[in-house]
Amino acid sequence: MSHSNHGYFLGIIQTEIHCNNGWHRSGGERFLVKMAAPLTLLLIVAVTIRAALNRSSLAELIAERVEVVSPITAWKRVIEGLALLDLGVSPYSGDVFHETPLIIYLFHFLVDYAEITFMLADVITAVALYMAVKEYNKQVFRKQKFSLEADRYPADCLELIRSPKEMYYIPLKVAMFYLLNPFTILSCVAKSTCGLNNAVIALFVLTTIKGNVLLSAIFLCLATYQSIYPLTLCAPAMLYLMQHQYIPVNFRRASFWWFVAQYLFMYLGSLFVIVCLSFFLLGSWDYLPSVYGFILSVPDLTPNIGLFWYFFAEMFEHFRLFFLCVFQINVFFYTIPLCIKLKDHPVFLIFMQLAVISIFKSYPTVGDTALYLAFLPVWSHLHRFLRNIFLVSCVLLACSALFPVLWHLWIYAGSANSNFYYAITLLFNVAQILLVSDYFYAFLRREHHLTNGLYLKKKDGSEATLVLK
Amino acid sequence: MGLLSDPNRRRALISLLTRLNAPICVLCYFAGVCWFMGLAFEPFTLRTYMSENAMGSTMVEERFPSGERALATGREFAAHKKKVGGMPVDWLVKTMQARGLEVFTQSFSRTLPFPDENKERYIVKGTNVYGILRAPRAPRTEALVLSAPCSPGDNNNQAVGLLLGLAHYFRSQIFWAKDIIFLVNEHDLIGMQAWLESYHHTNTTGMDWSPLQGRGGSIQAALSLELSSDVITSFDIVLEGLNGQLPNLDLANLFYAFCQKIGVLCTIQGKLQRNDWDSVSGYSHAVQTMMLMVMKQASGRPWGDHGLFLRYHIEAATVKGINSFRQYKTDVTTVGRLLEGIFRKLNNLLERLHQSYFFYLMPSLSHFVSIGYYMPAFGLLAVILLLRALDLWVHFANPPAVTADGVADIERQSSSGVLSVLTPLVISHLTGAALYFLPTRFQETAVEHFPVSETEAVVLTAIAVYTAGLALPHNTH
Repeated sequence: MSHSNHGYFLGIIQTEIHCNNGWHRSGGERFLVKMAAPLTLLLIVAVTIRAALNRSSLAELIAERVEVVSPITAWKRVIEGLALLDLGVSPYSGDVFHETPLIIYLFHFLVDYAEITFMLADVITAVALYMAVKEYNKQVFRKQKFSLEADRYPADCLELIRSPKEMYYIPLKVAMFYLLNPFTILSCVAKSTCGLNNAVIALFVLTTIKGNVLLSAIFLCLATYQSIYPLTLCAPAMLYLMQHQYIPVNFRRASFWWFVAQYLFMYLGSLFVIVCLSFFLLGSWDYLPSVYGFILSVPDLTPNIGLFWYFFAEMFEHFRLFFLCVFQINVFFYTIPLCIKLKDHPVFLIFMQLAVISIFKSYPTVGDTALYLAFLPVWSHLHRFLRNIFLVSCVLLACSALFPVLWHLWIYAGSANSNFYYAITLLFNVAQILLVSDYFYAFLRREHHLTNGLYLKKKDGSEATLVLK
Repeated sequence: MGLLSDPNRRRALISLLTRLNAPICVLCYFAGVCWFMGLAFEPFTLRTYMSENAMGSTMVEERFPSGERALATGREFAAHKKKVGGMPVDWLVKTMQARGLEVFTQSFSRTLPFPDENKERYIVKGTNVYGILRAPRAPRTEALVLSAPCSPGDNNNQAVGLLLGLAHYFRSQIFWAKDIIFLVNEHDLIGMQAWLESYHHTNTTGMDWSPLQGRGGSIQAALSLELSSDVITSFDIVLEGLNGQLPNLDLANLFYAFCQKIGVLCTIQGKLQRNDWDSVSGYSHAVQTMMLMVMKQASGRPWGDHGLFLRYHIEAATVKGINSFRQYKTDVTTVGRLLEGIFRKLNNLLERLHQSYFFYLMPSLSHFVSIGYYMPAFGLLAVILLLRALDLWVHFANPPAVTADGVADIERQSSSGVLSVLTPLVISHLTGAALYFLPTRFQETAVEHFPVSETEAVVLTAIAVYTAGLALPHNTH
C-alpha cells in the first residue's frame, strides 16, 4: 500500500516539474482568458432566451404544465405559502406548501425579483459546472500523463488517450448543455424551485472537485435539506475527497474511518444547524412532516413524469406502506454497488447517482433530468463505445413531444385516459435508464480496454468480443 | 435485454437492416397501403353495436303527431326571415315563449380577417335565440341541445319549424330528466362558436358576444338538424368535427338503430349501404365511403354545426335530411318521431358517452374500423422513416469503405456528431415558425404600405419567406 502512496507522490513531483516546464500553467491562463468570452456570450444568450419567454404569453402556460412543476417545486405554491405567512398563519397548514423554511424566507425578500432569482440560479449552476468540469479535466489529464509515463497503458490503446485539444471545449459544452437545454429553459420560465436545487447541487459538485471538504459538506447538507435524495451523494463525495487527499480507500485503515467520521460530522452538524435554524425561523416543527413526510410518503398523486403516481393511485391501502418502502428504497439501493464498482471514478459515480435520483425520486420534473444531462459532454470520449444512443435520443425526443399531446387527449378531449399518459412516462424513464446504463457500459469498457488493450485476443490469439452480461 | 446488449445478435440484425434496407422499406410501404385499403373489406370490419349500457334496453313508442303543424311553423319562419332580411329574433322569441320555453337571446359580432368577397364587409353581426325546456322533475345539472341553423334564403326553414314543433311536443312530456336547449344560431359556425364560448365561459377566438342570461347545466350531447324540404328520402349523418375530431361511436350507432327501427334510409357521406361486399363495385363503394371520411377529417374544418361541440367534450352530430329521386318518401312526422326517439334515449344517459370508440373509420353505417385496426397501417409507414434513419446512422457511424491508411480514417470519426445536425434543424424550425407567424402578423402593415389586398398580402409574405429561404446555406453534393 505504501507503494501506491509512493506512486501518487511521484506523480505530483512529476507533474509539478511539468507545470514549471510550461504547458500546464501558461496553458491554464490562456485557457481562462480565452474561455471567458464564449462563456459570457453563452450566458447572455441564455438570459435573453429566458427573459424573452418570460415576457411572452407562454409563461403562464408553462407554469401549469405538470411535467415542469411538481407539488414540491411549483411557484404557485410558494406564493400561497408567502401569502399564508403574511397572514400570520403557518404556511404548512393545509396541504399546499411543501418548501423548506429557508426557501420561504429567501423569497420573502426576493418575491419581486423572482424571475431574476431563477435566471441567476441557472447562471450559477452553469458557471459552477463549468469550473468544476475544468478542474476535473485538469486532474484527468494529470492522471493520464502520470499513467502514460509509468507505462500503464498497453501499446494499442493509444487512440483512447485523451488530448488537451479535444478536452478544451468540454467545460463550455457542459455550460451550454445546461443553459440551452429546453428542459432547463422551461423550468426557469415556470419558476420552478428545481432551479435552486440544481444550483446547490452544482455548487456541491464544484466544491467537491476543488477538494474543499467543509464547503462540500455544507452544500450537500443544503441539498439534502431541500429534498432528501442527495443524501446518496455523500458516498461519492467522500470517495473523491479521500482520493484528493491521498487517503487510501481501505476499510482496514484508520485514516479512512477518521476521514469518514470528519466528513459525516461536518455534514450532520450542518444539517442539524440548518434544521434547528428552520425551527427558529418559523417557531414550530410543522415543516418536518410537510416537507420530508410529503417527499417520503407521497400523498399527492398529481401525474408527473415519475413512476409513483399511477401505481399509488390504483393501490389498495393495505399494501401502500410496503410499496412505498420498495419504491423509496429503489433510489438509495444503487449507491453501495455503484460505489464498489466505481470507487476509482467518483465523478462518474456522481453522474450516475444524479441520474438515479432524478429518475426514481418521488416527484421528478424535467429540471432534474436537465442537471444530469448537462454532464454528458464530459463523457464525450465514450461515444465510440455507446451502443444505443440513437434509439435513446429518438425515444427521449418522441416522448418529450408526446407528453403534452397525451395530456391534452386525456384531460381536455376526454378521448384517452391515464394509461396513455403513464405509458409515455414509463417509456421516458426506460429511455433515461437505458441512457445511463449505456454510458456506464461504455465507461467500464473503456477502462477495460485501457488495462487490457484495445484489440482483445483470446488465449489462442483469435479475436474476442466483449459481452456485458 | 439480449438484443440491446449481445453484440453478435446486434451486428447480425444491423447488417441485415443495412443490406436489405430498400426492399424492406418498399415492402413496408406496400404493406401499409394494402392494410389500409383492406380495412374497407367487410369481413375485416366489425359490426357496430351499442356500448353504452344506459342506452341499451329502453325502446319506447314514439308518438310525435304534428308534422304538418311543424311545416306550417317553418313556412311562417321563412316569411318572417324574408321580411326581416336576417334572423327574425322577435318572432322566434314570441313563438318559443308561446311553447313554454325560457327564451334568451345572445348577440355577437366578429371581425373577419379577410373581407367577405360577396358582401365586402369586415364585421359579421348576428343573434342567437335559444329556449330552455326545464326538466320537470330533475335538478338542472345536465342538458341536451337540439339546434338548427338560420340560413339565408330558402334553406333550413323546415328544420327550424320541426325544432319548434318538437319543443311544443316535448313540453307536454313529463319524463325529461335533462334540460333540453333548443338553439337557433345565425351565421352557422360563427354563431355556434359564440354560443358555446359564452356557455362555457371561455374566449378562445376573441369574438365579442353578450353573456348568456340563461344556462342549463353541463351539456351531455347535442344534435344539429338540417332539413330543407317537406319530405325526405334519406337521412344523412355527419360526424366529422373541428380538426377531424369525431363524436363517440355510440352516437352514430344510436342514429343507425333508430333509422332501422323507424324504417328510414340512412346514409353516411351521402352514400347508401350496399349488400354486395364481395363484388368489386361493392368493395370500391365501401373504400370510397371510408376515404371520404378520411379526407373530411383531414381537411380539419367542421362539416356541420356540431363540429364545434366536440372540443368541449360534448358528443354531437349533424343530421341532414336529403330529398333526392327515390321512390319512398318520408314525411316530417316520421322525422320528428326519429328525433324524439333519439332524444329519449339520450335522456337515459347516466354519464357522458365514453364507452365506445372515439377514433374510428366507417366504411358504412353498420360497420366500423377502430383505431386499433387502422393505426398499424400508419405504423408501417412510420417504420420506414425509422429504418431509413437507422440506415443513415449506421453509415454515418461506421463508414463502410475501409481505406488502406487506417490512421487517416480515424480523423473522419464524427467529432461533431449531434451538434452538426442541430444547425439545420434549428434553421428549419425557425423558418417554419416564420411561415406560420409572419403572414398574419404583417398583414396589416403590408396592406398599409403596399398596394395589395389582404389575401394577396398573406400569400405574398409566404412566398417572400420561401424566397428568403433560398439564401440559407444548403449543401448540394
